[in-house]
Amino acid sequence: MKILIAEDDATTRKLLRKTVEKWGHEVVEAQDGAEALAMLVQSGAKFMIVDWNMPGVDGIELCRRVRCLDEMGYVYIVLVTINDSKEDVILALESGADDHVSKPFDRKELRARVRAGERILELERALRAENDGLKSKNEQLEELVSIDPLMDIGNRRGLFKAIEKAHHRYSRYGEEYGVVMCDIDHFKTYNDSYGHLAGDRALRAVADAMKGILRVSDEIFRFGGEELVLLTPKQEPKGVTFFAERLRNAVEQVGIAHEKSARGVLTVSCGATVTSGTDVSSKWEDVLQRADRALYLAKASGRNAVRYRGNEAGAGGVPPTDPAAARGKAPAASM
Amino acid sequence: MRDARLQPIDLAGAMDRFDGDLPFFLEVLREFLVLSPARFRSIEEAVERGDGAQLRTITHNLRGSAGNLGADALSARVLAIENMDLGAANREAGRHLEQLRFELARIEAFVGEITGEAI
Repeated sequence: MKILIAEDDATTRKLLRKTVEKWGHEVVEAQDGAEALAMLVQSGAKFMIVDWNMPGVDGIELCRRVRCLDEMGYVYIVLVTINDSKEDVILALESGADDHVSKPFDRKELRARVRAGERILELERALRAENDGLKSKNEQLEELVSIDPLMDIGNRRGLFKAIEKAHHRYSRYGEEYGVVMCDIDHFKTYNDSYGHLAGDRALRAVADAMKGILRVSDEIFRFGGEELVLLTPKQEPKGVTFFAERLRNAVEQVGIAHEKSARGVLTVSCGATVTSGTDVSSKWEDVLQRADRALYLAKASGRNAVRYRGNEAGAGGVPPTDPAAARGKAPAASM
Repeated sequence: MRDARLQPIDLAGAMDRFDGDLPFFLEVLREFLVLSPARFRSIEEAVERGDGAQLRTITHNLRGSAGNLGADALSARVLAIENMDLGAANREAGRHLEQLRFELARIEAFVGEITGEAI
């Protein structure tokens, strides 16, 4: 174990050093409290033998300062002093010392106290390791409960967490975000025609196709059944509509055969929106509902389409160029 | 055999602290003998300046190292100075420092006796 000895008296310091080294410990020395504090951080020692009376930062103040160092983990401190009245011992312990040894010190007593400290540190290490392991497992569990295992994307729970955060950023910092809600067209008939296992494969393929065009900052979630929601930060109406159109196209391009679909392949309809104006004071649920309404418009327009719906209650609700029109189709009526 | 109470060093107690390592004990003791005159001068200067805090720091440290070396008589004399108010220390500084130097000389003689060397 590495032990930091803070002692301004050269004679006592030398004696302590040799004594502790004989017990197989590595020693780091400091001649006063300020130096001890710096050496503690530098050396990473977890055990200190500290003299009470030192110039500048004395042992009591040193104990207090060590207890304020969050990044160090637990440091065990034995205060060595001639001051051994009951009041002194109480002050030493209350300032953060773990133990106390009188000067001139008794070698056997000091050794027993160092061993006791070692046991405490060992327990603390074991607890910390266990705690870190649990924390890591908790993080894994947290991730697992937010993931849809079939599509390998976020699930509804993950979406609600993510959109809540995005909405908070928008309300607080004005960082707009876009929402695209997608629904696979005629998926029930796909399942009925090709079976549920094929349906599962199709769901994975749709998710993969969409994942293939995401930016690092975009997020994709399974909202339920054959519905997916995508969150895309820093968007404006035109951008989010273009993004939704790319999603729609990516799925169509996979070419999953669906004989009961108008185009002969599996397609998706997408409803898009972005935050603006009064969204600052509304809830994220309202934004999600707007994307849902836009999706309804896309479905109503004949499916395999993208529709945008802005926040009509506030500024920024200007509809973008209709992507269907951009592809040479008649634009849908504004709803 | 001489009475242990008259000895300037409690060798048995010191050997226990030094884990029976006589050469190391003598090494540290010699260093202590070299450093002590300067500490005595510091005591003198602190008394002259009327610097009570400095006087307490020096005497406190000196008492600690003397105690670890088993120099109990010297340690007791240092404690007497440490417990004095500045006025008393000022009045009696000369006598006390003389006693400290006397105890230091006894320790030097003690080391000479053990090692057969003159310090």
